[in-house]
Amino acid sequence: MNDETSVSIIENEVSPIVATTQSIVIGSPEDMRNATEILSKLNVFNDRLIEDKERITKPLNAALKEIRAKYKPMEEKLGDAITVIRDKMETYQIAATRKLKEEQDKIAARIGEGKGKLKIETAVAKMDHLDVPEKNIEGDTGSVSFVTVKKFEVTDLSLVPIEYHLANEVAIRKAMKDGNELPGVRYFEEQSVRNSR
Amino acid sequence: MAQIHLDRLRARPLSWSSISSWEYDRERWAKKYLENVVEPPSKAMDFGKVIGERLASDPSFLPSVPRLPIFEHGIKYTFAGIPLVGYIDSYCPDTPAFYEYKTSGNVKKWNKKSVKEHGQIDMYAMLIYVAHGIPPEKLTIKLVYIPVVESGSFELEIGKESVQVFPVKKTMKDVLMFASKLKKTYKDMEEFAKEYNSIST
Repeated sequence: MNDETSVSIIENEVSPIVATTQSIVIGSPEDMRNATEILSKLNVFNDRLIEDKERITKPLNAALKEIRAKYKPMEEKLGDAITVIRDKMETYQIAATRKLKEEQDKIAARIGEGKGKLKIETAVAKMDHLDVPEKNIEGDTGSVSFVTVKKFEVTDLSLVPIEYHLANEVAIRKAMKDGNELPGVRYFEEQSVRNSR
Repeated sequence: MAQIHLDRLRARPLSWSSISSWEYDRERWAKKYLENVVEPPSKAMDFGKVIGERLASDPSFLPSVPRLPIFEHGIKYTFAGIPLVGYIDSYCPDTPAFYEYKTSGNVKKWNKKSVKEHGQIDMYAMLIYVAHGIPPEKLTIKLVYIPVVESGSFELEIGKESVQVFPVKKTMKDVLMFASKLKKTYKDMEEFAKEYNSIST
């Protein structure tokens, strides 16, 4: 039996049952028993489908794993080397940009009238002579360009407006399991289905 | 022909309109500033002008729009050999402060970021410093956005959205950076004028 046929057979068997789920109404213990039967059948089909799928995907995944393992060491070596050189380039560019900004600040602070002060024309001329780090660098094999990326780091969460806070749901769930209820959190119960077959 | 274009460029003080036109479309800029081809003002430009005039003459018009005593304050100054001109929408030398009014149908056009990066503010802060000696740090600067909409008869009218007032801070470093960029821009304009061959020539 080919894969297409196998999927078609399951689909033919499952489709009528799937169709009934849309119209089913659970209003009595008898309805609940019927629903249990349908759910169990659906889960049996689902188990078959997964088993069928994995018959094909498991060898493929094993082959994929083997190929990945073969290439991984060299990829890691190259990746590490790329990271090292990128970090060094960025470190240089950050330092050069910071130096430029400091020199621009110094020139700006000297503008004014009187001794030791600069006229704006002189200040601009001085600024024009500062070494500006190149943003585009060409090599024989390729080129790099630097773009300014705006980033952020939260330094004091208490100062950040509340609408930008994200509740730590993992910690809240752990606290709940430990029996600790927190203010600002509603605790409630729901019924969840566990189907055995 | 190159000399004519260069002469025309140099004869006319450099305005923010010219700089922004240059940054937007050089060929179109050349038509206007090198060939002196007069473009009919757009509906939006006309409307902006009308709004500016009414703000100056009628205190009851759009009372939420802040105003300063002097409207259309003109400053001319030659900086590093570049003749400059600016007409500040609303200005007060005593506060000291200046406000720039913007009308637009695009409600997303003006926000804190676009206001901060808007070179016209740097240019006017620079002109005020060089012409009046007021450092940018002492200036109270606001960009006032007045939303407009197109009415059913394709005419513009004041929109229902609220007027937005964006305070702006400028430093001497901003002014210097702008002045440095201005010099480069003008040099590029001169080079372009020398090389420019208009269709009509």
